[in-house]
Amino acid sequence: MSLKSYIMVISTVLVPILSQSQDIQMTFMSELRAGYSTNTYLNPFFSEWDRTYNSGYGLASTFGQLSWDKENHNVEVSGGYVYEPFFDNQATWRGYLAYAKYVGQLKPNIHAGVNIGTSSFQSNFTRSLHWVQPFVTWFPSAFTSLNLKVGSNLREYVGYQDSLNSKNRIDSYALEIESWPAFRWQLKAGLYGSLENIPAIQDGLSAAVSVSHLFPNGSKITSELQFINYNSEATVTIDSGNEPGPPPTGPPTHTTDTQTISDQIFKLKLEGAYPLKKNISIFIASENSFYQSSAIENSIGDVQISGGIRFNLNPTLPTSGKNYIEPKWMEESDKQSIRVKYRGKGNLFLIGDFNNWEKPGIPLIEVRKNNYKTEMKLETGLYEYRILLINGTEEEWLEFSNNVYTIKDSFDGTNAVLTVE
Amino acid sequence: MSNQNHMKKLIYLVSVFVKLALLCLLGLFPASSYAQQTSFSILSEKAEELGIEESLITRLQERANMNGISEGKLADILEPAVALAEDNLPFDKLLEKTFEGLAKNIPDQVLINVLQRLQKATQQSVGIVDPWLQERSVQRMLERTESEGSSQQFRNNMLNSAGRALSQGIPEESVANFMNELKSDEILSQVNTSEMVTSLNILADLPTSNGNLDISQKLIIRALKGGFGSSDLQKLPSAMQMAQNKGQLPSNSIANGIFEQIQAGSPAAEILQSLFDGKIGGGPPAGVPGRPENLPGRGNSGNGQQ
Repeated sequence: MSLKSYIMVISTVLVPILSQSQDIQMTFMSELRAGYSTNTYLNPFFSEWDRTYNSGYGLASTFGQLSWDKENHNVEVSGGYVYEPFFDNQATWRGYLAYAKYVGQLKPNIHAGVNIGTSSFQSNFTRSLHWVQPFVTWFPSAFTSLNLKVGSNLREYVGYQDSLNSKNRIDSYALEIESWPAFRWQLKAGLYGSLENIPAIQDGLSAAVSVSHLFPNGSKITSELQFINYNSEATVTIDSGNEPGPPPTGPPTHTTDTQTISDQIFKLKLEGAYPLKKNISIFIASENSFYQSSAIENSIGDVQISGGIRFNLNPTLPTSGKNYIEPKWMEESDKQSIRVKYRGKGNLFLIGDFNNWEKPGIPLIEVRKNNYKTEMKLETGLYEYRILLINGTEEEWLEFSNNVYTIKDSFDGTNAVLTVE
Repeated sequence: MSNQNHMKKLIYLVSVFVKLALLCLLGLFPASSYAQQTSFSILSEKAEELGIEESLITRLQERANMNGISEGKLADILEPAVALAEDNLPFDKLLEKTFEGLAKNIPDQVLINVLQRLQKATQQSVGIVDPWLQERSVQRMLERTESEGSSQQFRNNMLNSAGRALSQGIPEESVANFMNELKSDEILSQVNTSEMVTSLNILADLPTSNGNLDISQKLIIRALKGGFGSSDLQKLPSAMQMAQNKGQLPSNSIANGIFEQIQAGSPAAEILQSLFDGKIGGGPPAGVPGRPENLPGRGNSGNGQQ
């Protein structure tokens, strides 16, 4: 399926939701990075074993994510573009990623869902990936989650070395645990393997452990250790002169012999991020890998170091179906004043405990275009209220945005609350 | 001859029966209507005697008429407030709820059911609130906070809040336990009457109250100890709900996150803001989007991991 098809599918699903719900959040993330690596296996997004790309590199990526929450359901749809040039004039790596995730709450402490996605990257060859991965997450305690994933990953290479094409499917599983042993300490660990190896799971088992510490100002330091193990039969070309690559992701090569190869890769990653502002942070990362294989005598060490800046934006989505409002209360010279932004026809009225819910209520005056205001003197206390829109003979109780403090009204609805102290 | 007499007698009896039936039919509806009017009139007179303002009753009648509510149903609507006034219990909230229901065009029988439930809950709360008010520690707090309002007003507010909790399904025993925790010296020495009322008011609204009432109670107590003011407490239920929606986390996790933040000395405003942003300031991730390269199994790791 092409990128255009995915965008069409996503649009078809999301446009009706967007027009009816305010439970959607939009996030844009961009990253600019510069770095140096001795093996593209350590490059973000590239991740193909190639030690000839021993050079500086740049990376620009931008991603958008829509997240929709409703009661016990959450849907995320994300997509983005990556541009990764190399400073030694080798072919630029570029491509897109699109993925979606659904999570439903089966019980308060058990969630289940599915990840689906696709990506396509190209330089002097094209690599495409498509994956489907159902999962179940269990929260045995408030600060610990266990995640079991089982799924399929279809990997396709086109125009790889000597124009070889290949396509293979990997059915895999993952068992991950995330725990917060202390408030600002995050511990993650995972075991990953191929379903083909069951029950001899040790033949292709990989593992990852990471420890992160969050600081009160939003800074974060993460240290991650990965152990990747491939212990399977593979075909190798011993006389080709190519660097060996870790199967199954290693490049397809000319076959002259078949033997069992045992590969292990140890990776140590360190990353620190520091927020400059709410939506901007800078980061620095380093990664070391040590590769050893039964096919070679000496182990191979590689390094990647990079740094950059990240941007996050959370724009408010325009909604066409309903009018969601977010009243702002202020105390001005012993009076409580309310300001409401509203686009649309009709007149707005404030109605609540303070006027015995008498219709039509206290009129809100349009002080500027789409900006309404009124004020009143209120005694100390707690007041419930709503905003009523009257347009001709039609009345509508305007819904409050999710950022407004509301309580149940005993009639299966909600009222906003004003506390005067 | 005898047959003719019998026939005449039968016709006479039938005609008398029909006339009586007609009289009954004609008389029945006006009598019923009269009875309803009388019932509302008597009730409104009684309400006025018990201190419910005449203007409020007149407005209630006008608005009920506008909504097409019959006089009989109107009496049922007014009845719970009158019953509370009769027991010298606060009825203002009930009247506010009545006007709110009318403004929102709530069906009359639904409105009556809600009002009756609130009435019963308020009456039930007397058995919890009044003994609590007599506790020495509570009395001391009332003396200290005398300037904040009369003790009668405080009683009314506590009855309303306790009634609200009971009407939303919080068991009587749990409300009593919670109030017992509130009367500890540590709490009473640092809170005012408004914070006390709000604590009780939000008990039923916290997401954790649906199955983990203990956690709700602990959370409120810790929030009070952590310096949450009345308006901060009022925001807590919806802030927690927001964090739960955005983070897809069990409410217990969010409560624990708040515990930790309070313990770490974070100010109430900061805690509430982070909840509204879908974060709990530590603890399990709250659904904040991760950078794609960090998401395993999304095709970019290149190492076969899933």
